[in-house]
Amino acid sequence: MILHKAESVKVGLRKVGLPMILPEFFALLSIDVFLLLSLLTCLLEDRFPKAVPYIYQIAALIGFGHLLVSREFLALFGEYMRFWYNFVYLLVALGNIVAINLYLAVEKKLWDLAKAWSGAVTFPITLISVFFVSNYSYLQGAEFPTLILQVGLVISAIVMGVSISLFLSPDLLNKFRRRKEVTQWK
Amino acid sequence: MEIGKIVFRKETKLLTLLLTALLIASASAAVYYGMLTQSTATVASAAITFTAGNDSSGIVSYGTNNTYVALTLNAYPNVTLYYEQAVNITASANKEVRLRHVSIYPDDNDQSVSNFTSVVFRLIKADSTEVGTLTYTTTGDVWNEPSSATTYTAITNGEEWTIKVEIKAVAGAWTGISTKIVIAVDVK
Repeated sequence: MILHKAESVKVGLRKVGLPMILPEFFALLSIDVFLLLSLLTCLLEDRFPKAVPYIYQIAALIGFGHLLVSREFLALFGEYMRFWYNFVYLLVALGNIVAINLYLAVEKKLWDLAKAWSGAVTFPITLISVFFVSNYSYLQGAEFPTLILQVGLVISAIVMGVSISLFLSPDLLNKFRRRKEVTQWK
Repeated sequence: MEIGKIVFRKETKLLTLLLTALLIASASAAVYYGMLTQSTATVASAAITFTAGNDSSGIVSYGTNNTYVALTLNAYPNVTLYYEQAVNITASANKEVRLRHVSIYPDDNDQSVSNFTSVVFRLIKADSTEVGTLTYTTTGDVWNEPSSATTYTAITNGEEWTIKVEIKAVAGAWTGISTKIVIAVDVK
């Protein structure tokens, strides 16, 4: 008679079988954000300095180099460290989106464009980023202020929803304003 | 049209940026995918190992790192032979274990099968509570194997449980007949 013991081999990934998010995913996301910014600023080149699209391409290239370095030192850098330097890079990318939004609104006084930018770029990308960060922190059991993430997720979703509604039916805002005026008269 | 004008046209710039963007994005995605598949597998020591019980002497041969064992047990005609502690299992971490049927030899319809009445494996905790049983019986030349594995039960770090075996052969069983049963101790 033979008794034998079967135990699955422990793999470096914490939850074997689940599609994992590596911390470098945030770098990948940031690279895509920089590339998107590069193309959008090229499309709106009259409103931005000429060098801006190229600067964003260089920022994306830096992210690519950063991914290559991270790959080579995967075992050396701990997951905690990898998460933070990728997360900081993501924050820089998101900061640039917000900065462009503010630049259009404050510096250029292009309110309509700034509103369109916030609805079409700033909040959707914030929503996506917050979703992945919260998903990562849930899967990895990372100590992260999840309440802030959830609040951010809800706010981004609401703003994006309102933006989509206004985009699909622009009269909605006028109707809302008219109703407000009538209520004031009463 | 001047070459300079063509180069500095918005469409040309956009096309160039679009192409480099595609290149950077796909190269980055390829690097990330490479990192996903590069995840290293680390070999950990087994959390559950087989150790000697009171009745193990002379019947147990241990496999590599005590992660598997082979038991050579006797069966007597019309008498149930009990191996109270055929082999023990020891935990070096908090885990859950169960017994599971893997295979049995000889196959059904082999004449030698009818020589056996029953073979029972009992998983017994340190406090003597039985937490699972695998029972093999025969009907003529056919084995009645356990239909399902036992339920997972928590074993704490440092605990030593035992596997008790009960074997009985039919009255007038032939000598020299053997069976080979493979069972697994699943750990999670």
